[in-house]
Amino acid sequence: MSGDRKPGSGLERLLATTLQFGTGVGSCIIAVGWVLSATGEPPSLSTVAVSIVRAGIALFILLPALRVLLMVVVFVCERDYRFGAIAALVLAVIVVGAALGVRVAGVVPG
Amino acid sequence: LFVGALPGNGRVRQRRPPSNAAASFLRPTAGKQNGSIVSSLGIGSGDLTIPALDTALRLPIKVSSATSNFMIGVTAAASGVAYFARGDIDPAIAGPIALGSVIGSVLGARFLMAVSGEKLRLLFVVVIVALAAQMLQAAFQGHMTLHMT
Repeated sequence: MSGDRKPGSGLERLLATTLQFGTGVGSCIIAVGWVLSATGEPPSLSTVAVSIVRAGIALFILLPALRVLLMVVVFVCERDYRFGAIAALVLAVIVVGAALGVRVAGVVPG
Repeated sequence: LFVGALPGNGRVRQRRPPSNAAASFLRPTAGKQNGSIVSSLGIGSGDLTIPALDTALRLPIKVSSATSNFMIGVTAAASGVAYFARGDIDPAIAGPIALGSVIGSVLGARFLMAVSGEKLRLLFVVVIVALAAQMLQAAFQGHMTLHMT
């Protein structure tokens, strides 16, 4: 059972490392884009800087989904199928929600 | 939106005394009630998820806040993709907010491990009361402000 899982176990460490690494990389990307835009000649954000900041934001948005995906993989590898199924359900809800949202975004102008 | 993506969930396991009758009545539907109120009011789920977990499920306040944080991240991921695809996320606004959230969450995670549960709950009461005052003010002025917690 997962209730016996110790805080320092493999899953916790893997998730913590992934989130810390992803957060660090995302922050650096956004910081670089922000500095570029601040030092750019036109006062408004230049196209490249906007793209860099946008990439960092995309990484931030994908991190929680990546975390859930990792949980599915780790639970299945550990043969903890009950929690694997729960994590898969959460992941499915995220994917369906995102897909529906994108589809609606395509229909509604704005 | 960005808060849930961050590390530093409080790994604290404590047992609280058995719940009272009101809590055991609330428990089976705590999530549903929380979801209904939050979605109808349009406020961030953390403000109500923490009291729901803390009161109805009798979880320690640190576990409640960490769990709530994780839940926000997962739910915001779905809507975040949609808003992003729609182009509603302005990099000029979201970039600085993301950086500030990272710094705040690192400090907050350290604070969470250092502070006692009782003090944390008192602090949260202050936040909830302030939020309620803000909502009342918004209601009387005829418009809602957005909360991102």
